[in-house]
Amino acid sequence: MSILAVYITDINGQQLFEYPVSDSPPTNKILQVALRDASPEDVVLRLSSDELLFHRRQDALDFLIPCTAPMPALVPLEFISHLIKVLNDYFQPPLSRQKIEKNYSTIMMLLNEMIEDGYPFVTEENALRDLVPFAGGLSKFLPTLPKGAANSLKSLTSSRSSSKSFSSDSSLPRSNVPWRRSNVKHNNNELYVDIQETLSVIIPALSPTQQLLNSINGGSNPVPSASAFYTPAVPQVLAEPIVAIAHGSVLATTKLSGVPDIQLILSFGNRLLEGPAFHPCVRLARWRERPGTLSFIPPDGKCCLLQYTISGVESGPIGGDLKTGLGPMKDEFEVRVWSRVPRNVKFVENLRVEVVFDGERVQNVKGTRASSGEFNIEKKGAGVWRFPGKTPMGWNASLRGTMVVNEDLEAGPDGTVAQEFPKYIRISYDCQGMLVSGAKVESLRVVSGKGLDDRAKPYKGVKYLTQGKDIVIRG
Amino acid sequence: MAESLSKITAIFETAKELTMEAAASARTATASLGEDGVFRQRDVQRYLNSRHEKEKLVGMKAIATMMSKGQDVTEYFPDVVKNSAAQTLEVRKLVYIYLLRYGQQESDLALLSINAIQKSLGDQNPQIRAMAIKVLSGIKVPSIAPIILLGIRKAIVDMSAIVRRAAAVAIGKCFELDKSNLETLVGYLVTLLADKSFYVVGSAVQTFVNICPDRLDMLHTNYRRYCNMLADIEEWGQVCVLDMLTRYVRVYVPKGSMVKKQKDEFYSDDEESGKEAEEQQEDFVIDPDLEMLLAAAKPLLQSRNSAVVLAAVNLFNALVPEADLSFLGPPLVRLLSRPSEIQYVVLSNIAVLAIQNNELFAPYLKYFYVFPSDTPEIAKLKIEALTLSCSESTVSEVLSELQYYATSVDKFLVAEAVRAIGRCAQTSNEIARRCLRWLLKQIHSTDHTLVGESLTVIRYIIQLSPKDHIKTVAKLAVALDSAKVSLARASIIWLVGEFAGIARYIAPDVLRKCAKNFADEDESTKLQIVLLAAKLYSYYIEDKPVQEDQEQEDQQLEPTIRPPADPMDLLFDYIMLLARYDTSYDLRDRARLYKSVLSNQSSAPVAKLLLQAPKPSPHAPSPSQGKEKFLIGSSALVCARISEARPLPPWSSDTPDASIRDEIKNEETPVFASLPKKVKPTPKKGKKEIKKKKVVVEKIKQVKPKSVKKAEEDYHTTLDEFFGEPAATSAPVMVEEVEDSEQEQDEKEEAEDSESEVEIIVEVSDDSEEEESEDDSEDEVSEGDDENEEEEGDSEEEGSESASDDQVETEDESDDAAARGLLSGQ
Repeated sequence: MSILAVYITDINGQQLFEYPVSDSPPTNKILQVALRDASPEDVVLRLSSDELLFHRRQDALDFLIPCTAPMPALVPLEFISHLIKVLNDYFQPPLSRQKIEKNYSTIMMLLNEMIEDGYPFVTEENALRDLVPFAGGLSKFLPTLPKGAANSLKSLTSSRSSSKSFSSDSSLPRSNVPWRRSNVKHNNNELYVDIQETLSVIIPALSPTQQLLNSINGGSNPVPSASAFYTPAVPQVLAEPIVAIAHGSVLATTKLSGVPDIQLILSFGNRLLEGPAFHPCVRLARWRERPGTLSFIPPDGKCCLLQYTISGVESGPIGGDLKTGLGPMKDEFEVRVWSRVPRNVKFVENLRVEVVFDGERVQNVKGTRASSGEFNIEKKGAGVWRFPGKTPMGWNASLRGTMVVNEDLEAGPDGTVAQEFPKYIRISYDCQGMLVSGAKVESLRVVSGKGLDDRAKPYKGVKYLTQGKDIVIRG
Repeated sequence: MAESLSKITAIFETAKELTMEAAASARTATASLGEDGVFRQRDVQRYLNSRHEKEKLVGMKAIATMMSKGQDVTEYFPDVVKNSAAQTLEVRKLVYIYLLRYGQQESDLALLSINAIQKSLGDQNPQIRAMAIKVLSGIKVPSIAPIILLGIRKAIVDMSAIVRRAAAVAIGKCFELDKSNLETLVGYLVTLLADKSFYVVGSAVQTFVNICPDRLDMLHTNYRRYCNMLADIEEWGQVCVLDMLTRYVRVYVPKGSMVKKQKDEFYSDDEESGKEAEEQQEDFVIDPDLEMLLAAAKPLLQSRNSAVVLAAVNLFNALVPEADLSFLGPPLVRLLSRPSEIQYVVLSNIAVLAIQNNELFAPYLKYFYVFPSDTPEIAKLKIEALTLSCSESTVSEVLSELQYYATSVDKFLVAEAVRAIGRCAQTSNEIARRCLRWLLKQIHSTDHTLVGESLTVIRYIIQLSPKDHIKTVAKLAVALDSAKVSLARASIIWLVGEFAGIARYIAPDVLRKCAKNFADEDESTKLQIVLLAAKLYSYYIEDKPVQEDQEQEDQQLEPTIRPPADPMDLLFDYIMLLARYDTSYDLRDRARLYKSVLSNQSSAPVAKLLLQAPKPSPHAPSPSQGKEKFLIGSSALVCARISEARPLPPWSSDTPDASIRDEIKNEETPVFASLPKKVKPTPKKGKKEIKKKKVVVEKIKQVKPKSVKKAEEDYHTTLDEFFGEPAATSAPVMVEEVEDSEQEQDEKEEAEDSESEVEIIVEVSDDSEEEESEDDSEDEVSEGDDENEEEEGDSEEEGSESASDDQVETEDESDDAAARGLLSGQ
C-alpha cells in the first residue's frame, strides 16, 4: 500500500503541480482520462486492478492521489484533508492557482516531509513548521540548533513528564508534544476559542389536521415553536422538525509563548454528544473524569480541539413555512420566514431562502410579491430569495407567487395539468453569538505556562457561531 | 600604507559582497529568474554554481519549480549534486529531493553525493541525521545497499527517536532496493518493533506490513506493549498498528465465546461500557489479551482522523462481532459531517456493517435522512442505510420518509427510494401490504421513473408469494384503465400475463380491453399485448381436451367455413391480425413466431416453455450486499473490481499459550508469576528493551549465511508443527540458539562496547537465569531474555534440537502452570 504521487490541477484538469512518490506513477493525463470516464460522484476510481485514484476538489483546485490498492480508503482522503490544512496554514486560505505556482519549492519540501515510503509521515502543521521554512521566512543555517530551541526542548520534556506519565525520551528533539512547534514566541499573548455549529433541520409538511387548525386560528403572525429558549407568542401549529442535527467544532487559536497548559470547560446542558472526536493534544482521561473538560497543551496557531454531533437541537433562530393553494384561483403559494427572539443575538447575516420546484414542469414563477428582500430565479428549478446584510431579530417577511406550468406537459387523468407548487424551501444563514445546542464555555484559563511570562495576562476571547446550512421546510 | 591599502581592499571586498547579497535577495524577492515562466539553462546553472547560499537557493527553487511542473531537469544533475553539502538547510533539502527523484537515472553522478550524505549521518543535529538516512535509503542506486545497511544499523540504536523512526522507514525502502537483504533488515526491524518510543513504533509497524506482513510471530512480546501505547502512536501509525493487531489476534489469540453463568464484565475498566455490560444478557468471555486490545482500541474511535476510526471499527467488527458493538454507531455517524468524499466512504462502510447487524445504527436513523445538498451517491447510500437499519418499530417512519423521496423532483432519488421501499416490504406482511397499496397508487403518476420503478417493485412483491396476490393483479388490471404512461401500461400487461396461470379470469378481460385500442398504443405496449395474447392462448389450448384440439386443427384448415366457438380463439386471431399489419418489424416478427408456435400441436411443449416458463423472482438485494467479505475501511469495499489484497487470516483454532506474549520482564520482580493480576504489562520495561535490542543487533553482525539457513529450517519446522499451519514464506529471522555461555559472553562484551548500562542488565539477567533453575515459578524470566520470540516458540516445542532440552522442558511446564494460574485467577 502506497501513495504513488500527488497532483494538483485546476478544475479543467490542467496540471499545476506534481510530486511523484514512486518511480513511474500514472501520469496526470491518465488520471484525467479516468476522471472524465467516471461519474463525478465516484470518490474512488479504479485505474487498474491494483491502482486507485482518490480525489477531492477544494477552492477550485483538484487534488489527485493515485495509490496502490490495499490502501485503507480513508488514508489518502484524510491525507488530502491534512494537506489542504497545511497549505492553508502556510499560504492562507483560500488556496488558489497563483499561490500554488508561487510556492512550488515550499510545497515540494512539505510533501517530502509529509509522505515517506508512500505513506503519510509528518502531517501536523506545527511539526512541519519546524521542518520546512515559511516562504520568505529566514532559513536556518547549519549545523547547530539555535540555543533557544535546545532550552525550550528541555522545558518541554520536563513539563510533559510532569503532566503526563509518559516514558520520557530525552532524545526527542521537539519534546513529546509532536503537535507543538518549538520555541514559540509571541509579543501579544492571545487565546481565542470559537465554537461553531452547523445546523441541519428537516421540517415536514403540515398534516391536513394541522393545516385545518391553522386556518381556524387564522393567525398570520408567524410564531416560533413552543420552546422555553425563545419568547413565547400566539400559539400556532407548526410541524415539529423530524431531523435537527448540529455538527459542532471547538476551535482554539493560540498565540501564546512557550508551552502553555490550558483548561477549557464547556457545558452542553444535558445534551448527549454523539461520538466526540478530539485533537491528539486533549487529555482524554480528564474528559472522561469530567465530560466537558478539555485540558491540553495546544499547538501554536489554529487547531480544532473537539468535534461533536448533537441531534434533537432547537430549530434555530430563523423559522419559516410554505403554504400552497392560496388565493382566489387556489394557485398561489406563500413562503414566510421570520426570526425568533433569542437572547444575546441582535441579528443574523447572509439570510437566504431557496425556493425549490420541479424545473421540468414549471416554466416560470409569476406575480411574485416579496414584503422585503429580493427574489430571483437563479437556476432551473430553484429561485433564491435574498436578504442582504443583517436581518434583525423579531422580524418577518413573506413571498407570494404563482407557478406557471409548462404547457407541453401531458394532462393528468382528469384532463388538466395539475398546478405546481414549490417542493420545499431551504434556508441558510450565519448567526453569531449563539449556539443551537446551548453549548457554552464555562471557563477558559491557562493553567501553567513554561516560557510564558507570568505577568503577561493573555487576552482571551470566546466566540459562538451557528451556521444554518440546511434548514429544509417541506411543502 | 600597504596595511591601509589591504584594509581598503578588504572593505571593498565586503562591500562588493554585500551588494551582491543585496542583489541576490532582491532577485529572490522579485523572482527575476524564470519570471516569464521560462528558465534559461545557463542562468539556472549560474545560480546553482554561485558562491552565495542565497543564489544557490534561487537556483534550487528554479529547479523545484521545473520539477513541480513536470519538466525534465536531469541536465542539471552535476550542478545540483555539487550543492549536496550546502550550508543552508533549505538548499540542502531541495538538493535531496532532487536526488531522490533523479538519483536512479544518473546513478554514477548520484554516487558523488553519497559521501556528503554519509557524513551527515554523524551530524549532531538529529534532524539532519534523520534526513541523511532518509535520502540515503531513497536514492535508488542498488550499489549503495551495503552503505544503507550500515547507516540503518547505526540509526536503529540512535539516541534520537526521530532518527530511529527514519531508520524504520529506511528499512522498507532498502528492502525495495535490494530484496536479498531481507534477513538482515528483518533483524533490524525486530529491534525497532521493540522500540520504547511510540514515535518509532508506528513507522516500524508500517514497514513490517510492507516487508514481512506474515511474520506476525515477531510481535508476540510486543503485543501488550502496543496495546498500552496505542493511544500515543501518531495517527497514521495507529491505522497500521490496529490492522496488524487485528491480524495478530486472529492467529494467536483465542476467540471470544459465549459462556453462561459467569461474571466477567466486558471492558470493565471503561466507564461508558459499564452500562453495556449490564445490558448484556449472556456473558461474552474473551481472552484477557484480547480484552486489553479492545480496551485500548476503544478511545481511538474518538480520533479526529477518520481513517483511524474506521480501522478501530474494523478491529471490533473482525474480532468481537458477537459482542454488543452499539458504541460503534456514534463515531461513525459523527463522520457524516466531514467532506463528501469521506462521507461516501463512511456510509459505504455503515451499509456493510448494517447488513451484518441491523441494530447497530437503529438509534441513528435521523442521520441518514437525505438533505438536498447531498450528492446522489451519498443520497443513495443514506437510503440504503436507512432501509437496512429500520426495525419493525421504525419501519413506518422510514417508509413515509422514503415515500417523500419517491415523489421528489430528483429522478435519481425517486428510483432509489422506490427500490428501497421494495426492500422494506420484506420486513413483514403488513408492511408489504402497506407498500403495495402505496405503490399501486403511484401507477397513475406522470413521473415515468416513479411508475417504472413502482411496477418493478410490485412485480417483486407479487412474485414473493403469487398466491396471496391475485387481488393485486386484479387491482393492476383496473389501474390499467387510467394508467397513461406507456411504460406503466406495458408493465401491467406483462404482469397480468405473467400471472395468467393463477389469476385466470382477469387476463382475458384485460386482453379484450387492450384489443379495443390496440392501434393507439405505443410499440412497447403493443408488444406486451401480443405477448399476453400468446400466453393466454397457450393456456387456452393446454386446457382444451385433446380431441377438441384435433378438431381445432381440422377447423383451422378451413377457418372461414365455421367461426371458432371460443372467444379466446377470436381474440387471439384478431390480435395476430392487427400485429401482422403493424408498422413495426419487430412486432410483426414476434406475432408470426407466436402464431406458428401456437398453431401447431407438435410445438405445444415449445410454446409452453416459451410462454409459461416460471420467471425467477427478481433478486432485489441491498446494493451493498456481497461487500461484507471486504474489510471495513478497505479500498475494495468502496471501489468495485478491486480485489482484497490482504484478507484477514481466519481464526486459528489452535492458539498457543498466552505466555508467548509475556514481555521480557525485569527479573527484580520474580513475584509476577504468582500474581496473575500483574501479568498485565506495565509500561516500565525500558531497561530490558534496550538490553535485548543490543544483543540482537550484535547477533546480526555474527550471522553467517549457513547459520541463517539452519535457523530458517528450524523456524519452518518448528512453527509448522507448533501452530499447525504453513510457515510463512517470507525469509528467515535472526534465529540463533545461544549455544554456550561463551558466545553469550561475546555478545555481552560487544554490547558492552556500545553501552555500559546494557552490560549491567545482561549480567543481571544471567543471574536470574541461574535463580530460575532453582525456582520454577519464575517463568516470566525465561531464556527469552537473550532471544527473540521465535526462539521461545522453539523452546516450547517438544523435542527441540536445542542443547538445553531439559531446561526447556521444565520451562514449558512452568509456562503452562503460569497460564493455568492466569486463567483460574481471572
